[in-house]
Amino acid sequence: MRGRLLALQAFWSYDRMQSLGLLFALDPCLKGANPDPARYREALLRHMGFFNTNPIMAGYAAGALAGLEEELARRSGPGRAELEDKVERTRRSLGSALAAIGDTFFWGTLRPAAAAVAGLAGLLAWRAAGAGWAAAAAACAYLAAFNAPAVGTRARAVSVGRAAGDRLVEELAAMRWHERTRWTARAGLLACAAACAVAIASAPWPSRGPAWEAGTLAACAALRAFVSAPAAYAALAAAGCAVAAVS
Amino acid sequence: MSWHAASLPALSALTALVDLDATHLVHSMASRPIVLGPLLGAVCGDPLSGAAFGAAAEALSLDRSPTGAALPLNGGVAAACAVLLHVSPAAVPAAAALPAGLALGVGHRAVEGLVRSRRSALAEDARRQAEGGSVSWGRLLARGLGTHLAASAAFVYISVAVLAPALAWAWGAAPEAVREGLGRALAAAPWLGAASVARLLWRRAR
Repeated sequence: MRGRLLALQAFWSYDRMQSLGLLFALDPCLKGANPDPARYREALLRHMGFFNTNPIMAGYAAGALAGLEEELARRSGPGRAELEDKVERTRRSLGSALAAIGDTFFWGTLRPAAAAVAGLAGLLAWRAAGAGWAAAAAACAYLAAFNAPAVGTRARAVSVGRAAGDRLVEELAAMRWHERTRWTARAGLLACAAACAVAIASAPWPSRGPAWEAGTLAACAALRAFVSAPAAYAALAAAGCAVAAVS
Repeated sequence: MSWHAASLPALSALTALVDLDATHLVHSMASRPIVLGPLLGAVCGDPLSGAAFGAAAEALSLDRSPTGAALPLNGGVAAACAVLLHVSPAAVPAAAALPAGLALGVGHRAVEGLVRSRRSALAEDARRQAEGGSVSWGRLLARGLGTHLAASAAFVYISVAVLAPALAWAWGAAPEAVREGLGRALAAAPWLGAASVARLLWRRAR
C-alpha cells in the first residue's frame, strides 16, 4: 500500500480529486479482505466518492480505512450498514483533517525551511569548495531537509492509521504537529538569517559591497510585505528600468 | 539543427518526466526548481546558471501551495525553461531568461488545467470497470501519466523553440535602460528570494 500511495495523485481530477488514487492504494487490501466478488465490487464502488488530502499524510487515512474495510469484510448482519456509514464518514473527515495538518507543515513550512537550508548549504559550499559544488550542495541539502521528515511520516503513517482506526484524529492531536510546525519554521528562519549573513559578508557574485547588499535585502523585504514574490520581481524590474532611464 | 532535433526534445522530455514528481508521483521534491535547475544545468554543462535560475524560481514560487484544485506557478517548469532559453544556441541572457521562464511557469498552469479536466474521463472509466468487478489500473495509470508527460514536454519544447530566438532578437533591439533594469532585477533576485522565504517562515514561527 505504501508504494501505491506514491501514485495517489496520478489519477487526480477536478470532480473526485484523489479518490481514484486512494482506491488504487486500497485495492490489494480490498481484494484480500473480500474473496467474494460481489463484496469486492461493493467495496470498490464505496471508495469512488470525493477524497482529497495532503499526499504525504494520506497514509494515515489509507491505513485507517484499510483497517475499517477489513472489519467490514468480517461483519455481516445488522451492524454492517452502520459500519459502512462509518467508513464513509471516516474517509470524508480524515481527508480534511490530514490536509489541514499536512498542507501547513509540509507545503507551508517545510518547503521554505528546506529552501533556506539549501541556500545556506550552497553558499557555504561555494566559499569552501568553489562554484562547481554550490549547485550540487544546494540541491542535495534541499532534498535531504525535505525528505527526512516526509519519508519518516510516510513510513509510519499506514501502520499508525491502521492501529488507530477511527481514533486517528486523537492520535494526530497527540503528535503535536503545531509544535513541529513552529520549530521547523524557527530552524528555517535561522538558516535563512545565516545564509543572508554569509552572502552580505562575502557575496560570491559580483557585489557593490556589504552595505549595498544589506540595503537591497531591506528594500526587497519591504516590497515583499505588500506584494507577492513574482509581482515584487516585476516591480523591481520596472523600477530598475526607470532608474536606468533616468540615470 | 541537433539542438532542435535531439537536445531540446530530450531535455523537454526530461523536464516533463521530473515534473511528474510535482503533483502526480512520489512528491520527493525532485521537481522543485532548486533541484531541477542544477540538474538541467549540469546536463547542459552549466550547473551554476542552473542553480541560479533554480534558486530564484524556488524562492519566487513558494508563495502558493499546490493544495486541492489550486494551480500555482510551476516553479520546476519555470526554472527548466529559463535554463533551456539560456543554454540554447540563441543564448538568451539570464536577465531575460528568468522572467521569461517565470512567465512560462505561469503559462504551464493552462496545460495542467486542461490535462486535469480531461482526467475526469478516467474516473468514469474506473467506475464502469469497478461495476464490472475489477479495475485495470495499469492502463488507467498509463493514460493519466502519459497525457501529462506528453503535454508538458510539448509545452516546454514549443515554448523554448519559439521564444529563444524571439527573446534573443528582442534583447538586442531593446533600449539600454530596459536591459539594465532587467539586469538589476536579476541581481536583486537572491535578496527577494531570501525576503520571501523569511516572510513565509515568520508567519509560522510565532
